[in-house]
Amino acid sequence: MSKNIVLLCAGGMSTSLMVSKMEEAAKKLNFDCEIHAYGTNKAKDFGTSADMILLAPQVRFQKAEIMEKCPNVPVETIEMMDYGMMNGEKIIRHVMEVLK
Amino acid sequence: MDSVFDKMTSAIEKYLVPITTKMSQNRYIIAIRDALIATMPLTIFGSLCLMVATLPIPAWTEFIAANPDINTIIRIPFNLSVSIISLYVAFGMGYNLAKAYDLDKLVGGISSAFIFFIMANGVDGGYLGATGMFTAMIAAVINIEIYHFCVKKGIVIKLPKQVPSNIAGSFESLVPIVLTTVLIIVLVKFIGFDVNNILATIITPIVTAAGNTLVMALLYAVLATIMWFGGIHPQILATLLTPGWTIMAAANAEAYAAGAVAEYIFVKPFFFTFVFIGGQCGTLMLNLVMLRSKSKTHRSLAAMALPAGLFNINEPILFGLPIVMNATLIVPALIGQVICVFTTYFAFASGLVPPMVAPDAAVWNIPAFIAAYLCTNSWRAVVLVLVNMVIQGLIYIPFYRVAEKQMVAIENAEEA
Repeated sequence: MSKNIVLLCAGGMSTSLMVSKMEEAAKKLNFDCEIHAYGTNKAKDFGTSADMILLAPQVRFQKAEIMEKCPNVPVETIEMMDYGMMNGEKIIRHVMEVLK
Repeated sequence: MDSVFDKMTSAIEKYLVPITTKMSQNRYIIAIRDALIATMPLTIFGSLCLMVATLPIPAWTEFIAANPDINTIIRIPFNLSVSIISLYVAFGMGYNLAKAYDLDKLVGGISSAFIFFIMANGVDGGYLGATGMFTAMIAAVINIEIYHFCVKKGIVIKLPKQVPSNIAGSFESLVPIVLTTVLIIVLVKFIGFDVNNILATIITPIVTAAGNTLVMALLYAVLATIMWFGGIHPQILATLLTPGWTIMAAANAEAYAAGAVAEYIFVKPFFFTFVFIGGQCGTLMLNLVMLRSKSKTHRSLAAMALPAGLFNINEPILFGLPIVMNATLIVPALIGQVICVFTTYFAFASGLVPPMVAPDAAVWNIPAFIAAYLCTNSWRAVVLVLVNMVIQGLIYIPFYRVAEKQMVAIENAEEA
């Protein structure tokens, strides 16, 4: 079944760059998923139905809040360097590991 | 250097992070922020129309002067957006606060607009524009707090269980709306407590006077850079400054539309267009320099980062180069931001660049050289962006060479 991955940053702008890199990687790795980016203020609207939530490192301080709003959904922060280099493949591999 | 660096990092984690977290979770701050964000499409569109009506092209100016009807029509979106901004803020804030309390959102929005009208002495009371912004916020808070209180304590009209929940929801708010209305009318009309006047003549001037100072501008630019150094998005700072920015932007545009002088310099584009060129820490010129770096890693990072960088999104540079947690590059970032606050202030204060008469037209993610024109209708503003960009680049370069050298050494070691 297709997995629903939600990326959150301050306004959903920089994470949308990350989305396209992750989509490329997912295709390459044959991982069936949908990836969307939003601002953290939309966590409750779109995060609760996700299979996994990934936070951009610059909003990592909101992790506890997001976890509270979206119980039962694994929430993780993307490593700073992976985020800067937009290392979609490494992040997708990690997601596959968590959702196995 | 290292110990200062460590101290700074741990101070950010220890003090700044908890404060930021706490404030970002405050329901009032969130409601104001989301309400103001939601008004953006209207204020952008309205401001652009105002700028079209006043485009500094001689043939167009003459045409507009000869056709006042067309001038009026072009200005309709402006007059019904920026000029009555507080109405939209009251609705948006009521909606968001109701959402935070799990109340009926639409009822929360509509009733807050209604209570705002009552507090603002009706449609013709003169408080629907920027001067009524705090009235709008207070109206929404009082309204939703009473609504929430009544629902929590069960002071509501209860309908039989068979009634559909959306109909029951509308009735649920009836008692609190009546209570709030009576309270406001007693306060404003009978006791004569002129809330608008107090807010507009005391609070608004304090907020704009504080927001419109060089000290505040420097404080914001420095704190934002330091937060990025800690890898934390300084959105909360912008959120706190946004009410002031919105009021000042509307005041500038209203003054301009009426043919008066736009007096506020430190509106949002002061930072997001003229100082944060290519994103916070002003990295666009650095990004261009990196395209021809000696380091392969930096070259590919720069190529990947540039398209987003043009639109002032620079997380790849901030986290990838990185500037975050990087003692070498935070120094030029800080110096560049501070100097550009001064140059921009000087350019506007001296009149070298005409004032930002429609600040809302310069949305933060429009490329700086375009946004600069949009909010001033002047090429001089575009020149200011280019000057600031070069300044930021020149300050980064010597420090960047150090980072570049380190990266090349790492790359060589990996290849060997």
